[in-house]
Amino acid sequence: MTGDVFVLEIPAVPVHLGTARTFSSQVARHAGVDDGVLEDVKLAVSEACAGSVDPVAAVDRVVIRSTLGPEVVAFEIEGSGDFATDRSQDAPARLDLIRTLFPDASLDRRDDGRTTVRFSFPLGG
Amino acid sequence: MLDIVGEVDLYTAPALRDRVASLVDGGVRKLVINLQQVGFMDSSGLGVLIGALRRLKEHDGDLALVCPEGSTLKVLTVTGLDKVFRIHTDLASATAS
Repeated sequence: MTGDVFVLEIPAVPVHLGTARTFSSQVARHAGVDDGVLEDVKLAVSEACAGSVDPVAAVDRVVIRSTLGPEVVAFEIEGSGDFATDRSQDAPARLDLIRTLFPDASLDRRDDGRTTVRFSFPLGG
Repeated sequence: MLDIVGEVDLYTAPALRDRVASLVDGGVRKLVINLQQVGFMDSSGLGVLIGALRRLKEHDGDLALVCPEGSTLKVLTVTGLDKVFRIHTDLASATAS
């Protein structure tokens, strides 16, 4: 996918989730998405980052990358979270929630333990 | 009544969970959580609400939420939790129920 690329790298600790939300919402706003989709983007990125952070110590980095194409906006969130087990007591699964908002959302795991959540949506859709 | 202001996520949810636990441990059985000034809530926050409802039910208590509109109501709706919680649009109806 070609287009303008925006990247934010943050320490993998929960205190920085708000920064990731601000970044993602500003990028989405720059792309011209409406407020409803913008809120969905904030939630999806926040969930993806929360699934990628260490709740105790900043032992890693989380990278949020957004590509604004002429017709599609795509987000990638790369970290080392274990989405299979990283969920608060009683809470809905993060990846399920992201997929509810953006049905094309996917989670890839590499052999080195890195994970990447990807989702996209059409502009004007 | 528990008024929540700001954003509820993985970072802030533990403090909310502790606050709810202290209320229940202190004898509160009917709790109204006011979400009108919550600008953002993720699944960590939802987990706290679900845990609060579970704890209160264990003590024959009850939980009501005040959440008239916005992103918080949407996340409750898309997760199906609007069918689980008693959600009110204003404080008066929540406290009267």
